[in-house]
Amino acid sequence: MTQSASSPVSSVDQAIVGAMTRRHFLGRTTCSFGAAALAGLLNDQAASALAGSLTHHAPTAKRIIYLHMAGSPPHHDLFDYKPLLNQRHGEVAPQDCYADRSAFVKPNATVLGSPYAFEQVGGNGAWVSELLPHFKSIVDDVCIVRSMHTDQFNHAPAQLLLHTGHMLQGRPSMGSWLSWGLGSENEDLPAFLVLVSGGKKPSAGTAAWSSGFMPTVHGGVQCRSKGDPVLGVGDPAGMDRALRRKTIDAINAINQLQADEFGDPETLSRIEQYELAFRMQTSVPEVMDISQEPASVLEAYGADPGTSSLANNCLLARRLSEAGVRFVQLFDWGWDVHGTNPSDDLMNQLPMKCQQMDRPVAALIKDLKQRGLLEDTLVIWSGEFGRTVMNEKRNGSTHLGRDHYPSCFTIWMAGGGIKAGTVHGSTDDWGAHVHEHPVSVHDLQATVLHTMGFDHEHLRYRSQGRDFRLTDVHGHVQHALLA
Amino acid sequence: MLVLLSTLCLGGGPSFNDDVLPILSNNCFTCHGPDEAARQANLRLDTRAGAITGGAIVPGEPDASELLRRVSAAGKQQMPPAHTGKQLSEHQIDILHRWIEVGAPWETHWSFTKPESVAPPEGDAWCRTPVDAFIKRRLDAEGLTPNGDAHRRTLIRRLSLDLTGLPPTPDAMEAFVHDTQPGAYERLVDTLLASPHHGEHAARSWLDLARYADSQGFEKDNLRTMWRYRDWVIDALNADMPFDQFTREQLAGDLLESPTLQQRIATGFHRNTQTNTEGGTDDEEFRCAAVIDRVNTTMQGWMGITAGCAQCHDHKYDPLRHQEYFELFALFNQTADADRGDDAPFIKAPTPDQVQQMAAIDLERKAMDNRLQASDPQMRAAIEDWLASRCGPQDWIVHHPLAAGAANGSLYTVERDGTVQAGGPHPATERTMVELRTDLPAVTALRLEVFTDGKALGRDGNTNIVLNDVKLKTSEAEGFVPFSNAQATFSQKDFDVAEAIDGDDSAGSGWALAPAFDRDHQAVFVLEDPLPVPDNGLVTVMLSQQWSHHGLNRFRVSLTDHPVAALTVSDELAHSNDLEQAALVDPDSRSDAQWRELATAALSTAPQLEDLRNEDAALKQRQSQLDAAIPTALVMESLPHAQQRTTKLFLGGSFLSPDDERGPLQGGTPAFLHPMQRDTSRAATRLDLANWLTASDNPLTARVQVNRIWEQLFGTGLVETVDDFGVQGARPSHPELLDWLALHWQNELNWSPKALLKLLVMSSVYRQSAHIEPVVLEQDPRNRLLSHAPRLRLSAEQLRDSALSCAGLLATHRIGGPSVMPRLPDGMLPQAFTDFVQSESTGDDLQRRGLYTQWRRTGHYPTFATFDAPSRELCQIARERSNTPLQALAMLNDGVFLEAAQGLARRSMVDCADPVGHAFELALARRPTGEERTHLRKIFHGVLAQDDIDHTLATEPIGPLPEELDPDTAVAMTVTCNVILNLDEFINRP
Repeated sequence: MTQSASSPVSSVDQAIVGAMTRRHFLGRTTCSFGAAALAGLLNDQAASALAGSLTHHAPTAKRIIYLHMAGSPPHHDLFDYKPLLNQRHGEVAPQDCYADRSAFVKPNATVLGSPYAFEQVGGNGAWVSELLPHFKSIVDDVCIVRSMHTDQFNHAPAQLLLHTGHMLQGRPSMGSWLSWGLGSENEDLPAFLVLVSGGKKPSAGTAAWSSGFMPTVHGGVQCRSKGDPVLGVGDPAGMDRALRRKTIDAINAINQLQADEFGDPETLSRIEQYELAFRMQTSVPEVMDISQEPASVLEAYGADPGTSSLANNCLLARRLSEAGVRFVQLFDWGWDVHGTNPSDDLMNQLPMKCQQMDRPVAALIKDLKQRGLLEDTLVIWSGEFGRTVMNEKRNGSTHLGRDHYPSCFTIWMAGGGIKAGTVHGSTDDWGAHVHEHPVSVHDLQATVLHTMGFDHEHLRYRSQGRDFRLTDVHGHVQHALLA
Repeated sequence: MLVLLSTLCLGGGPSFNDDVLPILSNNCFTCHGPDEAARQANLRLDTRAGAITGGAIVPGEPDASELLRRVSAAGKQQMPPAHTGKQLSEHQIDILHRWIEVGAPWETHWSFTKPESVAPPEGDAWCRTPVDAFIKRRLDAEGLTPNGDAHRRTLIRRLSLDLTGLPPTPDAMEAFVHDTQPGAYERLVDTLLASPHHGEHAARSWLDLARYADSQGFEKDNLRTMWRYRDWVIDALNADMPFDQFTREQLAGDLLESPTLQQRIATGFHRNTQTNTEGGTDDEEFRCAAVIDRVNTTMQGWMGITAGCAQCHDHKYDPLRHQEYFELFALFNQTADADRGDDAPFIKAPTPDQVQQMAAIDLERKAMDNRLQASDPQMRAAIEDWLASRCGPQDWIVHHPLAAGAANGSLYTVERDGTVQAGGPHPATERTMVELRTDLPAVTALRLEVFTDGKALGRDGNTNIVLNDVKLKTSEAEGFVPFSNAQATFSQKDFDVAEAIDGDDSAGSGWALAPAFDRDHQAVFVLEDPLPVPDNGLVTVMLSQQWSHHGLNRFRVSLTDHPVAALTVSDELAHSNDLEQAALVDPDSRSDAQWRELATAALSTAPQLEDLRNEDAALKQRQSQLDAAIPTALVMESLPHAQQRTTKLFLGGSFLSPDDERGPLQGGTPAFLHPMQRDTSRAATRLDLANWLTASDNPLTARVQVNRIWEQLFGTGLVETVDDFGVQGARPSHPELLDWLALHWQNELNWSPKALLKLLVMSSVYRQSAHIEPVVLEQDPRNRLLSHAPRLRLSAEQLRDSALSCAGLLATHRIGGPSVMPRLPDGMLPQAFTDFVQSESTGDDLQRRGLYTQWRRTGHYPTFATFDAPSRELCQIARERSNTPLQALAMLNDGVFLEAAQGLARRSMVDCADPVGHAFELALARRPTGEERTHLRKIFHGVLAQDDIDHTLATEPIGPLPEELDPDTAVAMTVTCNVILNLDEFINRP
């Protein structure tokens, strides 16, 4: 069991283990893993998870930054170059371009050629849209996967499937699995942090970073751009740090008297938690304060301290990863380009979103690389599904746009043991179906867990009488993506 | 360390259920268990016959048993195979060896067999109840000594928190501490169980199980009106509804004979499933998801069976078949709900208070209706009065104009009957002057009649007319005299006849008649005071018209001196000969129909009936306001027979893959459990299922429920896996106690929830002190033997309620009602595709019990999420009680807890020489010890000693400080109370 540092959780556990026994702790968390350990049936998987690490093999990534473009960008206009669409623009699309189920697009819709020019860049000649000029400069650091597919065609279920392995709410998200399995590298920060830009939460809401049936300590902690960066880290108006210190000293002193009198190890654990909380009150605002960054870095990201933007969040993601946060989840709202009006179309909204995203994301990759962090930080960029070949034209709209589409879409990954400068998989000439090397959502999850040192089939959590996995009962590690 | 649960039977070899089955289930059943499709090598180890037929086990001959050879083998022969990562320990292999040696005796899984009646052991002096005797016997056997009773102050805080969720009030505490009469404890228990706050607290955990929320879930997560179900749970628990009835009403209240409103509201239990209103979703997919959730929740919530596994395949561990899952599904597949955006079906569900108001209004309505009857003597008298005072047609004198002229060029001709006909050009605006000579000594009112050609009222076929102003003068009056009152047979919307006398003759202010162009109309204009007519008898009427094409076309004026203050006109009177007839008939000869006709007309216009009319209107308004305020409730409603759905097994659990080959399935219950008693001449229903769940043959329901309550009071269930009583679940720590409780509750206590609680809290084991002896930490660190009382971290709701309650801020006077939103942190983000941002409630709705906090699935109230409250997507039987730094941050800095500290500070400062001690006692139900006091005084005086004390700390967010309190002291006390509310003792049930 290797462990470079410990999470808030595991430090608690260690305190308990130190004071008492591990079994005692298991008993206090009755609903989760107490049962298994109690009956003495399983190996002590749960217990070792608490102590810090469950890994099955040497990891290539220690932490993850997940960049989720909520709403789902159109693969045809960004990464998956399909000249056939331009040749057949305006013609009724063949039936084959429809998925089994659709949200809005009607029969006999017409083909929509991409209004954007593509060029081949990088060592591997990857096609990239003119909307992503900065991305072209990092293309040799990433692995583009053009053969992703999902079986959900609406935002909330598709996002849940992507992050929790199941279309319905109620299961732990990827970050929770890793928090549970690995803890945090920094005991003064939560293991799983969430940053939201675009002014709205993603469709799946907090369920996208929920701990599901795992203890809530493994849930994503949402960082906020207004008010306290994390709920409760700010002291009330009129209380300075010195006074807060004194109050915690008083609380802990009286709690120690309780512990002496009743002998409950949980009281000792609480003393630890208050110390940790006090430290978080300093460490969280510190790490969240991007105004500390040099002007050149702010410039590179296009970040603007004091505002809320994807650029700021990309920079924050670097700072948090650098500080040892295990899983940094970004959601950027506004990519659902149906074309019902200019604020969700291909000609206005999409270029605007690309402009907001392209520079900071490229800056993030370069920044991580320059600091030597990219090699063990896995960065994933994705939407939750693809978009149609056809122009949606909902209610006769004259704005260009594409409907939801599950059968294929493009994502990319970088760092953390991913094979850089590659393009994996392909779609047919329409960009409507995976042509070779299909990668399912569960395959992606299996691969991500693999880079973090886990065999996805053996990372299991007992709840409601059965063992759950992030990958449900599916998923294959995609070795072709790995360096 | 104790081997608590692996009790090896003395002499008889290992226990199959306790020792052997767990090994087989965990290591072998995935491939050699009940799931036929996944079964390898045609070998099953979940039945004795299967194990023997397959040659895996030769009873009595361990060495000849292939099973033993394979679990010890290496390489390809090894079982379980290496890739599973599982391997049996020496100890486990030894258990299997000894078990086969004694003949491999088989037992049904313990929880699938009915509890057997056992007599409680003889208790000793420590024991107060049979529960204690079971616990004590085990403690004795393990050489442990239970604690004695906790201090009374501890007991009342423990009991209050466990039975009402609230800390004791100072009065209740004093009374209990000083009640030295025998039975004081029991009286306290009875008082707390009788408190209306008991139901609120007890409802909380059931609402977790019922996955109650105030929103639909999924992407949009729109709010839904669900709180009448929540209140039903509170009421049912306060009324101590027996659990079998509680079961029937929630699962099948609509199927009971003549279901009451309450019984229909109860079926909201299974309407807590989510609804997906995201654009373009397949409603059938999410309807099926809801039905699946109903099957899973029912089986788990009542019986601790994890049925969900069998949605996709035969259960891997428990003998629940894939097909049987869909037979359960069939029972829930016949309701009308279908993932509709409006959550239909729902019903109007008035609260008891509203029902009372409705009844009161109904009575008033009846009385009012009587007063409105044409046969009512008072009404008849009023009609007579009205007719007498009314200016009838006979009172109007048509005046033949001397001349009709126009200011802007219209030409008029006067006809023989006094009508004036317009002609000539159409000026943009017009002022028409009509000159009359009258014999009347004075004029009280003017009548204007306008005539239609059947299609149009205006000039040259223009449909409408607009009269912007009308005035009257005599040759001697100084200028025109305005009218004070106007009525018309009809007025166009926004062009009321009153606008013709308002002195404003602009185009927008006038009397018009759209769309009633097809008939004649009349308007009556009344003068404030009678206008004397001079001797020459000359009167001029001025009619101002601002709409060129809508000028007056054909009209006639009449005058009257009828001496009434307010003359009236009504459409009926003007146009109904019947009504005129009725008015003229002698009252004694009027028919009932004529009276009714007159009453209707009089009610709409007669000044004599104005009071009655207003009362009637006010009553109608109250009625419609009440009607609009009545909440709805989502209900289960069975489809009519002809619309019933066909249920098929879903291959792989997917609704897109019905198993057509297997064909339609009928509703039923799993074969490995007791049969469902029902009328077999018809299809099985949800009601049959509800009765099956609480049938005396059911081996699980009572055990699972008793265990659920036990977990709430003792922190850990007798079966630790409160949600899994299947083969993979934990074995009970005290099996005989569990069975005794289950049977006693069903048979002696008649499923009474309060009686069960009382039985448990009256026990010595419950009353113990929480002190932990070091030896216990060694021997039984998880306190499964209960040698001391557990300290339990309060739930999210209890923490909030306790803090606000001891601060005197909690609004407890109302039980139930719509959900509320407490104070929220700044910067909450809206959900995708909506601009909905959570907003705070106002007034004392900010301070209601946590139970009433709006439960929005994708926007969970942040503090509650921090303290392990689930977002309630799925059935949850017990909550985590975690201990994290984010909780510390919330307790220290969250607005609600800060406000509580401020409130507690103020409360403890009023008329009190020792505010620190008082605050401590309000929060913890005891006085601080000397040492504790030293720490608290140090922080208190430390703040006071500061040079520059910031008073916001005592006022934000609670509000300005009362004048009588010293601001510096209030800040010091707030900080001190912030410390007190963060103490481990406050955060825990003692």
